[in-house]
Amino acid sequence: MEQPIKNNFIAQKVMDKIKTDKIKIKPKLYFIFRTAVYFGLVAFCFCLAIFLASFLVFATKINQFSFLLLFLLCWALLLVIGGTFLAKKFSFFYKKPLAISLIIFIGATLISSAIVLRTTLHNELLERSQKNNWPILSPLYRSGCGCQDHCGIK
Amino acid sequence: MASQTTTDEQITQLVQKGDNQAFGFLVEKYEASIKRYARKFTQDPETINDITQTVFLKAFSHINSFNAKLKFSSWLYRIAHNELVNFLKKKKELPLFDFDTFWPHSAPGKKELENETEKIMMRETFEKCLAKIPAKYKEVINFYYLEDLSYEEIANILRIPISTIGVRLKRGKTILRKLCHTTKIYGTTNKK
Repeated sequence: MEQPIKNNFIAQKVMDKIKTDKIKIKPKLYFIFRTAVYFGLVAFCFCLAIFLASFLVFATKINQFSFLLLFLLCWALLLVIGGTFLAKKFSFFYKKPLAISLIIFIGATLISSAIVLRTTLHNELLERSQKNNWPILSPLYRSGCGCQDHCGIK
Repeated sequence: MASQTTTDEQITQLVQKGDNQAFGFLVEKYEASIKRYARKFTQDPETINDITQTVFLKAFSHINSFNAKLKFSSWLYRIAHNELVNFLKKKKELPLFDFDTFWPHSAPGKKELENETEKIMMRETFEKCLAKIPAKYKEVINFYYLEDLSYEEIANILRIPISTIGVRLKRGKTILRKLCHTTKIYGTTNKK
């Protein structure tokens, strides 16, 4: 049964646009995809921050702390801050003050980095990046670790 | 089929299944509330109508993003809030970043703010002096005192911590008291 619109200007205009198909309902898949993209971006920021933070510690053990490592530290911080702002879309984060969310993110990044450092990930990546000429990774490990080949590997 | 006894959430489920006409019930029910909300931020009737229309059109196009287990009114107010934020940003009436939501607060107890007599007085005071209050206090005062929403509902609409709501209500009340007290002493300006 059609809803009778009373003498109601806004309601009339809105329903006219709906009836004439000037406005359409977006499919559910659009919102699922959008949420997945947001979640993916937050996860990407978090993972990249963990990688950078653990790489910083790994590289500092082999080489002295350099300008490049400082630059990467700034990037890791930016990723953590960016990830926190993106995560504000989700109720677990927006119900908390931003400072608390940042502390949670930084804490989680540091703990995860410590776990990554206990694995052989960086050693293996260093070895493989020296054998192969990978874009981004090879220059990163060479410059960050301050060596051309077969360094830091036992 | 929608009727007077169907809940808002049931109506949205009908709309999601393809009964577009059922959306009319929701527009009729909430048009006055959304206009009232918009009126707190602008007095121009044309702008109020534009914002109200945009809110309902966005609500319709985004209806599939609504979870029927939650309250429709909170979801609709969220859309209205976003529209008003865009409107205020164009007028440059909003700061780039709000430090209220950055730090944790020990919020004033709800008992302090829930006295019924005080609520009625606040409503009257708010209507008299609302044009002079900053937007962020106007919103929480409007939702708490005029629309009678809970802290939790307001937090979901504005996407801010619950403790920040308590702090803004307290600060908003202080500003209102100062403004209305000043108005009472000195009267209106430019009287001829």
